[in-house]
Amino acid sequence: MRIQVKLIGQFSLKCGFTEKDVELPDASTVADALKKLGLKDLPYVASIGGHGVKDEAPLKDGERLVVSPVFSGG
Amino acid sequence: MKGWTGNILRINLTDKTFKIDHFTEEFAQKWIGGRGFALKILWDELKPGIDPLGPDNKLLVVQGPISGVPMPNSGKTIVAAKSPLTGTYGDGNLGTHVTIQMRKAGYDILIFEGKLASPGYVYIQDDKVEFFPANEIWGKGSYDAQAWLETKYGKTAGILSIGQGGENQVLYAIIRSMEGRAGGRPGIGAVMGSKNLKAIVVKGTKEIPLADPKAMKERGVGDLKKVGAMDKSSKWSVQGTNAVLSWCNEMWALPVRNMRFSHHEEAWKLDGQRTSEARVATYGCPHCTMRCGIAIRDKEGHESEIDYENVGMLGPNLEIFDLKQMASLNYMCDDFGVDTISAGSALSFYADAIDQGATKGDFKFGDAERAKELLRMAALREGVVGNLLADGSLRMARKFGHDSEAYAIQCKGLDLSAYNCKYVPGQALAFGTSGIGAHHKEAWIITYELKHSERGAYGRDKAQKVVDLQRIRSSIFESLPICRFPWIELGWDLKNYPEYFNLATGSNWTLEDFTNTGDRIYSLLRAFWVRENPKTDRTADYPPRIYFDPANAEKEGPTAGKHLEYDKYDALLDHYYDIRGWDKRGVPTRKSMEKLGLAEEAEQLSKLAEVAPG
Repeated sequence: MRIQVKLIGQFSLKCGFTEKDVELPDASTVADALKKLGLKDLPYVASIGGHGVKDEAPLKDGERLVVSPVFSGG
Repeated sequence: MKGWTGNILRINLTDKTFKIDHFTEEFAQKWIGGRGFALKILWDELKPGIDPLGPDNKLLVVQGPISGVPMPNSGKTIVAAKSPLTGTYGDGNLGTHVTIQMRKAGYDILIFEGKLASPGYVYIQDDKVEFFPANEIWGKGSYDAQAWLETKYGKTAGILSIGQGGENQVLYAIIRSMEGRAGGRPGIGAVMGSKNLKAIVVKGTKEIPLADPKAMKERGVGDLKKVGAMDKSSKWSVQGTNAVLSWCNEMWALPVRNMRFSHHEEAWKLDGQRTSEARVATYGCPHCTMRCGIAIRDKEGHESEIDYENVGMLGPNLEIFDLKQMASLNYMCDDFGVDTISAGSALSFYADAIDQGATKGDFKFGDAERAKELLRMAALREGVVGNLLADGSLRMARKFGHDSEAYAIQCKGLDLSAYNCKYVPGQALAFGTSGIGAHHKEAWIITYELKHSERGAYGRDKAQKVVDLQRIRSSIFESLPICRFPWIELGWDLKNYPEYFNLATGSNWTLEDFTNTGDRIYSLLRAFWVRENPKTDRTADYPPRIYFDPANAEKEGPTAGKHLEYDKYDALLDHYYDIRGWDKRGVPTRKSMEKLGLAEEAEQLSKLAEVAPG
């Protein structure tokens, strides 16, 4: 399946992109996507459609996953 | 006493006299420094009901036991007074050489009382205090004032100054330092202006008293390198705080059009990538390891130092998506010495009130040139509209009527920072219960809400998280005082802070000692509010009314149709009060205050307001 990934702040610098489509095996989870991106071991907040998603949440083809570092406010 | 100098320099501006008072170790161990000191002193020394802009108010500049010591991000100073914007205790922290110079001059606390007969500034050098006229800099912006004072006293002199906003007592005027640094959102700069005090200059030559100076130096130097390397490795400071903008837009939590909307297709034009690419210089506070001051060129060619709050409130909140124009507004706020957040909110409220028919005017969202003109009028208090804007959104709403207070985006008079909470209940609670009005520095829980809870939930865990953060931020970050960024943004362990505190003071504090002190501070902050508002009730802790209005819910996107709900918010507030030991009105019970060592203060409060036994 293919999902759209949007990275925030330093994650976009770490991965070399801000927004792109990412191919994943069917039945992949949020954790699988983060592992593929190399972000699994960093403090992050993942969300889909303005709501937080847990690591074990299954992803669906065409979804937009937003991954952000943890902030403490501007 | 180690860590603290124990000295208070008390300066009477009316008489141009000064004296040195001393505080005890018991006082120091009970209140830490920074906010803790300022709050207790203002509680003890100000009579309830005094005019914040009258000579009875006191302006405090306060340090803590690790201030001025080389360690990561320790260059912060607290400025405090009774706020003209909120009518209760107000403070702010800013990075400045004053932190180091004041401690070397031998003081933890400066108290400015009374009022100068004519505009002037005060120069403190160790035990010497001099008063000078401010003829050359009164009426000038903060950049010119800073430059003039730096020429006279040197680049590393500790300098705090105000711009025309403070001079003209704009109710959200701030205090400035080191060209890019600012603090005191609740109008602490207006208090300074009301005293005819244009600037404070401090230089010192003494040793800072530390329990273990050798260990402190070794550890501090090592950690400065270590945390600096953590920032380089994480690349946090490439985009700095403005990385938050894209995230808020994705989460539908961005301030757009006076927070009537929470997302905008053009927001990317102002995001962290764009501001980073436009960077012409980078600035930071003393002892900073992760400089967040990204300067870009504004439309007129000035260097304008931005962070997320500025961009959010002066950009999308006004529907201005031209980076250079947003930067112009930011530069003007800095030069005039007014808070970018409240200035953005006052302007957006004014445009909204015109839209809604609550007043007449010619300002429309997106009109950057008119926004600049209005900002200038506010800072100079020029004409009717300038004076309206200078008093901030809440007072404007009360003048306009037509129920416009519903969309004055503030709590207790202080405008919300750049996080739209129309469907973020926990963050709404954080703003609602903040001890100084809606300030993001007290508790920021949006990421917690998304990662560890459900966005739309109102569970006790969210109230607990707000309390936890208020405890930590009020005790460690506001009272040591020190920058919070290494902790969350880089993951530098929180236990470092008690360890530094112990090296400085010879104490044996744990994190629990700090959080207990944070509770004491928050209880007295609330008592201060109650003392000034004896008839207060829980509605004082409500976020702006528009957040509860179904008609204001988004019409599209992931939060379409969603809004805050009063019954659920009340239940969340009940959890918060229960954790704090406050009654249903949000007033601390006598029992809860006594438990925190505030028996005397509870007794004082009970003479002015109803205090439940608990």
